[in-house]
Amino acid sequence: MGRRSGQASVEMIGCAVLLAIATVAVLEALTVVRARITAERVADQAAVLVAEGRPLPASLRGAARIQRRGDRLVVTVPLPVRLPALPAAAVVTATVPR
Amino acid sequence: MACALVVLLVVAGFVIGVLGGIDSAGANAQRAADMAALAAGHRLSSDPAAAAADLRSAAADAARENGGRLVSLVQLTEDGLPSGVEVSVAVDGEHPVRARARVGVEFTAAEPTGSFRPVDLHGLAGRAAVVAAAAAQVGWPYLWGGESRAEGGFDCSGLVDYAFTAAGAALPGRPTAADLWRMGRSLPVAALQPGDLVFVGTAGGAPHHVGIYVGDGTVLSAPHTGARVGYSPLAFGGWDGYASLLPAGPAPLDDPVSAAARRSGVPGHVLAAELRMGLASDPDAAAAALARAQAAHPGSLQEALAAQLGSASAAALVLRDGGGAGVGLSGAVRLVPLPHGDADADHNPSIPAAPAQTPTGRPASAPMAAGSSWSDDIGTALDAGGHTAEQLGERGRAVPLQAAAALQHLSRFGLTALGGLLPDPDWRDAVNVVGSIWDTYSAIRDVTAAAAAGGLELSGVGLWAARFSVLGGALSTGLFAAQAYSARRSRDRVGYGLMAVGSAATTAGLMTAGGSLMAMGATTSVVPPVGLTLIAVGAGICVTGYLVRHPEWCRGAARIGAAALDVAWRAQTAPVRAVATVADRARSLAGSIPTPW
Repeated sequence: MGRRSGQASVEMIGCAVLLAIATVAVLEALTVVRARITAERVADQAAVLVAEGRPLPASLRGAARIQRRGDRLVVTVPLPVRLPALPAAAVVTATVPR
Repeated sequence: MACALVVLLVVAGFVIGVLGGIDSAGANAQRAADMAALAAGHRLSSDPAAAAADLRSAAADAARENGGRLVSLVQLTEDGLPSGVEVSVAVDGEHPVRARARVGVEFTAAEPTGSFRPVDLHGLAGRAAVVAAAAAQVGWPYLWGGESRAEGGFDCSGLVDYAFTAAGAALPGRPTAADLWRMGRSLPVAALQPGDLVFVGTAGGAPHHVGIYVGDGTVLSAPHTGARVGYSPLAFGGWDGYASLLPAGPAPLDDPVSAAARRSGVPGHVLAAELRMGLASDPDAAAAALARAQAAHPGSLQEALAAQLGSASAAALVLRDGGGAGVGLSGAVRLVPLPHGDADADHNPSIPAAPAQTPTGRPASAPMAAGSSWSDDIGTALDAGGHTAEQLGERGRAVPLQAAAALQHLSRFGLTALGGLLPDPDWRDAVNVVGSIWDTYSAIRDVTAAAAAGGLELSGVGLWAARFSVLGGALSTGLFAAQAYSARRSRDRVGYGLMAVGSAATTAGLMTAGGSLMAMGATTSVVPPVGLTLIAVGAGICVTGYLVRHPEWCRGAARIGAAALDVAWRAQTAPVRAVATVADRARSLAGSIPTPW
């Protein structure tokens, strides 16, 4: 009886660890995808505005860091939580037509 | 239950990864398409007559610089005039996608501030050129001593000086009416030809007024203060002297467009441009419409043209065509929404103006700010979902393959999740054995198909499914081994043991693909035939393990098989048995008939 109880506890701990790892992985995947989507959207809208000769609104600058290097726009959206072996931010580069 | 949740989370991660990848590729394609369309639009705005090859070149460069490939470019027109560009751009890669974008170009003309209306004579020379250049200035106010737009108008000799200069026959100095009379060769009125000059006050030898004879008994002149440059009959101007500064020659033909412009009193060069560009077909009707528009907008020919044509952009293009390079032309290039359900974009669609409030012409949600609310997150997720769906719709022939692969793998993962969620152990095993049979069948099919090709290439959804299968297989092997170790019945020990061996073989078979299978940067990986064989054998062993644990399934299957064979046998032999029965009946009937002797 005692042996069976001990085995169940070990299995529960193992499953809990697995669940925690899977949950963290899924949340991190969500965060990365969310940052990437934001960076893509901001890059597209900022590049269009620059190409049309219009100023960038504050709402766009608030959503991401936008740097202009020549005809390139570099949009950076930092990840709120950084895990090892994962990038610190989603970075998207757009080239504005001359 | 916990294992089922883990599997569900893995499936969720897989779905998030795939959809996120598709959305990212789609956004990249959309950006490349937007930039390509804007590049072509800018090229068009600087030169409305730009060749399609030039536009394509500009769009292709912009698409390439943004990681895309220009697929097609359609030049859009409105009433025959260039109005925009629509492009389709593809991004090749793990998730090949296409995107379209459309820009509209609104042209604006800028006449020079320091001179009168520039005129493009379109090859006219001599008398016809002098008349055309003067006719382009109809409507300017008279201003004594005026000879430039900056001064605000013409006087009579200023108009003559301008017309001769514009026609390429510049006069010396800035001659007055008296100077022109002295420079000219005197003519009788009957000898007047278009381009000759008519004077008032020649009796004293120093006339004080001059006009240009334009033919058909009409004079064009800047008459007096308070009046505008315009036409008047030769008979009613008090003209008393006639002279020519041009060499004698055949009179130019009085074309119907000039005649219509004369009759309505409108600038001839823009009327000619309207007809040349196909915006009007009847010179008299067009001239009358322009005259009405000029009456409503006396201060600006461009505004009058815009009112007549119903489009400021068309007015600018007409002014440019009529005025030539002297008229500055610029264009506002804006991304505009794609028409929904527009299968054929080359049909002169009317391009709506870009909305003033949104950053792009396409309806797009605002970008998500860091730390925004859950409602924003949900909005962004829905937006991304819609975007992904759009991209899936744009992927052409790649969609069925990718979608079918995704559906297949998701169904398989879903079966695994269902197997973990069911409360009854027998039902769980039933679902799992179906999954293992599926795996066996797929692997045998893959071995058959890939034997000649040297292996099965995995990419996109298939590659990610294989990666998760390796993790799931390793997990299953451990769980089955633990269950075999702790099982009380020998049947369960053997069954779970077989399942552990089968899972290990399946996992090992997948891992024969090498490091490219698990390397996140890899986009393709190849499972060799030996690996596929291991997978098939492993899946088959798993099936055997389940059957060992459930001999009642084998007995039930045997009973069902026997019953099916019996039914098939009866169905197949029914006609023979029916004939035999009929023969027996006939035989017995024949035996029952009494013999008469």
